[in-house]
Amino acid sequence: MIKKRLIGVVTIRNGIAVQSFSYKKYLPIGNPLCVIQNLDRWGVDEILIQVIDRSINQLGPDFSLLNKLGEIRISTPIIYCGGIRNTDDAVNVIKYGSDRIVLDNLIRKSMSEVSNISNALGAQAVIAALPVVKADKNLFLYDYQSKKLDELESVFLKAISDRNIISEILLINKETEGIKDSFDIDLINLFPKVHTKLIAFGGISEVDQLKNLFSIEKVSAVGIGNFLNYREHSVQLFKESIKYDYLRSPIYSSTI
Amino acid sequence: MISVAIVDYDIGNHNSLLYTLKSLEFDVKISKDIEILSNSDVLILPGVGAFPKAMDLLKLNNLSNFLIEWSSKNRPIIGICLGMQLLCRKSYEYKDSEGLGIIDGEIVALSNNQCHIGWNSINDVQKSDFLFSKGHDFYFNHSYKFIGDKSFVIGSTEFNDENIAAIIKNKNIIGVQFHPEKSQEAGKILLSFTIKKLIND
Repeated sequence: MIKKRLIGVVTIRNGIAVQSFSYKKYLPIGNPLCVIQNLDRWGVDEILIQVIDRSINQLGPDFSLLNKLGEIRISTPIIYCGGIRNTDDAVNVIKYGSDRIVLDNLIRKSMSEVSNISNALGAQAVIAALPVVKADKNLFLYDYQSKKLDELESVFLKAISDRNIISEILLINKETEGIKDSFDIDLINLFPKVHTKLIAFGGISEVDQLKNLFSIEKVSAVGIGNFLNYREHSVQLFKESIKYDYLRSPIYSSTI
Repeated sequence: MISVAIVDYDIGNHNSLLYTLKSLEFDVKISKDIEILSNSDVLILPGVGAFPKAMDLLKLNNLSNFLIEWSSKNRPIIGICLGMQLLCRKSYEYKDSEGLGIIDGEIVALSNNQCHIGWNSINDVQKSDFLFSKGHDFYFNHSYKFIGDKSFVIGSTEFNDENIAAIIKNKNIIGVQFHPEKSQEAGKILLSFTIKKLIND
């Protein structure tokens, strides 16, 4: 049976792991490699690394970081996000050790390039990031570069969903990102009906939230950011508390 | 020390495999040079990508004929994910594409064009020394699957009531649909065991 996934999300800015608050303020956490090593050691199901200053500063992907992940022998699946401009970047990100990629900026700019990336890597490797804001029972797409809200066009969503160029949508609660126990489950309910599965992220820190989200059929995974960093073995402890059949059992090195 | 070569055809997660294999204390190289590949004990055909592009690149790098010849001498190959699919005769991913034809089977889309992403367990299909996976989950990330002679399938997994070949084997050629190099400790144990077993058989 395929398991739903608990994803550890590491946000990096200027080379430092940070806690991001609603895409506005950033609290430094420390060396991103230490954070990633902990998540790997605790047996998280996937690690999403989002390097948030790469696209804005036109730096391209952080290949140096990806290379270091190999050197420190990370054996957890990696999802990389940040600075991917074209198919060559995407292919190289995979070559350097990522297993999947998240596209945000490029999804809005060039669907044809997203399609080219999917042709090269396969749809299963491509995730679309959609930071959303709820207003008057409607969802709007947040553009972190212009800091403006756009219509969340169902046509656009249908295009990426029906053409099988992406495998999952990272649905980010922009307003509650970084804030404890604040993810608005209404975002899932209001999200247009597409067959693509959703990864919920932004303000998820509690066992009850995880239980609720995992019980929703179209949610395939839940991302947790720095709330995983505040206690040792947090991944195993979350999983022990959830005891959800559709979740992979907590992994301790002694169980292998 | 057992030497393992990761076949470099310009696409795939080479680095992940490189460091995983190094941690398992194999002598590892990434190469597209036929001389270097020929001097290795085991070849690994990695894979994150789409089938037609990968086959084009194998041909462009003059690697497809080399791999077919290598397998005809019963020398060991491990194909991982897309690498497993490339070992087969044909794929229907995006368009009809000929594969290496080392294992007689075809690669078809999962039902309803779904992607099988995440951790899943493996069931024994037949008794084999290569089944060491019981009780553990492994990381899958694919949207196409193997169909072919059942005698090749030694392990399978279930996804939405669909049966998917997880491990296929034909003599010294093994294909795994999941990513052992990204399946934490269980994957490392499986990868290490498989390489050693192929060398000793």
